[in-house]
Amino acid sequence: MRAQPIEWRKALALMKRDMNTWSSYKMQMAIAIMGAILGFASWGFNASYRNVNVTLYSFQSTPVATVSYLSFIVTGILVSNVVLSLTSGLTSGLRPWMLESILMTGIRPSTFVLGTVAWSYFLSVVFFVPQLLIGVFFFNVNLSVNYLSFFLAVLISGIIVFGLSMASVGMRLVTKVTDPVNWVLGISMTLLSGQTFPIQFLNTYFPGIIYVSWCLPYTWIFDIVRLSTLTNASVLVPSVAEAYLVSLAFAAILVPSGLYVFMWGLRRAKKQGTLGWW
Amino acid sequence: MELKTLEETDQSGSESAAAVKVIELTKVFTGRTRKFTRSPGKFLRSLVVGDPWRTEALSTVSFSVDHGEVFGLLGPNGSGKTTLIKILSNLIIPDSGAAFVEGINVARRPYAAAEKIQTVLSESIGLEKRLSIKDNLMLFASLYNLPRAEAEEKVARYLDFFGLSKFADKSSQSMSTGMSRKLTVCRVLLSHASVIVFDEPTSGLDPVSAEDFRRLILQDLVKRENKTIIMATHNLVEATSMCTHIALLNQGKLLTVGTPDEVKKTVEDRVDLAITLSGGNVPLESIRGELTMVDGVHVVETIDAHGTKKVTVSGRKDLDYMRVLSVISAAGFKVQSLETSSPSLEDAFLRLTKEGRS
Repeated sequence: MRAQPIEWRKALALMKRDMNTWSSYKMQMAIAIMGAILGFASWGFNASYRNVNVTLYSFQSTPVATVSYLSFIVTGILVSNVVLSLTSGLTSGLRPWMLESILMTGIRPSTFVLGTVAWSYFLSVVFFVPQLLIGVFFFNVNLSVNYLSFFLAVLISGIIVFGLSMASVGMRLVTKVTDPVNWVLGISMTLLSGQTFPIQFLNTYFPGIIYVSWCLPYTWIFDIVRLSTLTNASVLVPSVAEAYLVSLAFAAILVPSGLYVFMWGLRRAKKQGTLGWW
Repeated sequence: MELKTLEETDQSGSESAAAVKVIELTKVFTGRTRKFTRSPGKFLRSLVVGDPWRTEALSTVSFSVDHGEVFGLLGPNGSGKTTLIKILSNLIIPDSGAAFVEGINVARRPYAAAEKIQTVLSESIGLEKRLSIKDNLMLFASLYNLPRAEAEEKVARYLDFFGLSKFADKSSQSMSTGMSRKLTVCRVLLSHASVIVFDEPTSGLDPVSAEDFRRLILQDLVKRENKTIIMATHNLVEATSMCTHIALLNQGKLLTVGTPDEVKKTVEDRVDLAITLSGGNVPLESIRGELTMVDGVHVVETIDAHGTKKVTVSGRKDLDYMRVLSVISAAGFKVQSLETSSPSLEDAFLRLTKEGRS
């Protein structure tokens, strides 16, 4: 498989297309903004009502820090909103009536995928800010941010999501309506990755399943984001660096794997003659 | 022919003389369909396993297109025209054989080939419906890697040329079919492609718009922009009037390639006699059988209504004319007029596709 350099200008053009399309549906735009804020607020009330503390554990099951459940869930929901942009980006970005015209231009696969999910990802990051402000000022979430660690966490998470996006687009070119990659990851995120409860709690019901959780990329995304935003963890500390290195390893595996799955899906759709089908 | 061999041909550059060359392209589509049946067992089996189907879309098709040509792909529905076009555009991968555009193997070097060929497909106009006309063109200008200034200049120029400037800020979904077609041409012209492919370019257009569009292809794309055009059509008049060469396809097989005149010549041994009669001792229909028995005659049709009596005899060019006339006069008919007609492209099309089926 040859190297696939990203053509940034083309990716930006696709992102701009999606931005213009999104903003042309005024009602959808208004509902999306309100939904993001109100949906987030409902989780905030939920967590405030429970008012308990949660212990964060490392991979070796060593306690790292104790934070409020409110802080735990707010970061979980914020991150999952960003990650879920992958799904919404694919749903809105892969337009069957344009797919063949765009691929005919000779766009590189990595550019095509990046351009397809970029607007959704960007939008979710934009929504992240007011949601974070609501969390801090309305629900009194205690943040303790290490900015370098946070920056790296966002970067690595973005790369992981990009790799998964490529795999997801590749599957969707074959399966058309939905794809198992996205479904499995979506389910595993809510069930096994510690989005709304610590993964250690799963051991109460299924002893040993926590090891499955640590094999999932989203578990590590939640872990490094929480470490960097709730515990002021520095990447220079070996135990923290370890979590970042594992996340980086996931990114290093998922990007080429995602590209491989995309190329497989594209080739299969071309073989079957179903590229423009939906 | 193995792909490896074709790759070597591509690298040697020996295919570069032709704008487009396809060598032994073969494509078979297979799949499974699901049918509703009253039998629960059969229905369940169909739902889970499906019933297999197989379509040979292209079978060892080879031809080449020279620079500056208007090359017609002619054939009935399901003949393989769109499959061939999609292979040229790298939207379908062939099972065997290869397609070259300007000497570039489309399957092996898709990004380089994409710079040489652009296609307007018939089933979708390939534009973003919520964007304005100008925004759509600017999007594709970016995808074609045009610098911003060049993109702005080209978009303005083509919109002006096609009379679309005043609609530039209108949504592309508000356009008529004719305007959408023009817009798709604008889109492909933004690229630096030297080969432009149209799939059914005038389908859905009214006669005036269709004529405008044909003029646009011939005068603007071929003469002014020096493009090579490949167009799939089943409009025979269009193919005769526009194409320098025609490839006739049927059921995935290439029946013939040549100029429209050369294709017509494939049925030149055939003649149609239109004979107008008067008088007659018997009903006209009664001599039909005897005429069919005349050496060289293939088909006889008669019209006997409202005082008009006509016989149309189709057959070999060397059919026994004297015997035909003697059968007619023996029945008491007088010949008022007799016209022979040479075969048209439509005759060639019908005959060759019928022979292909049989």
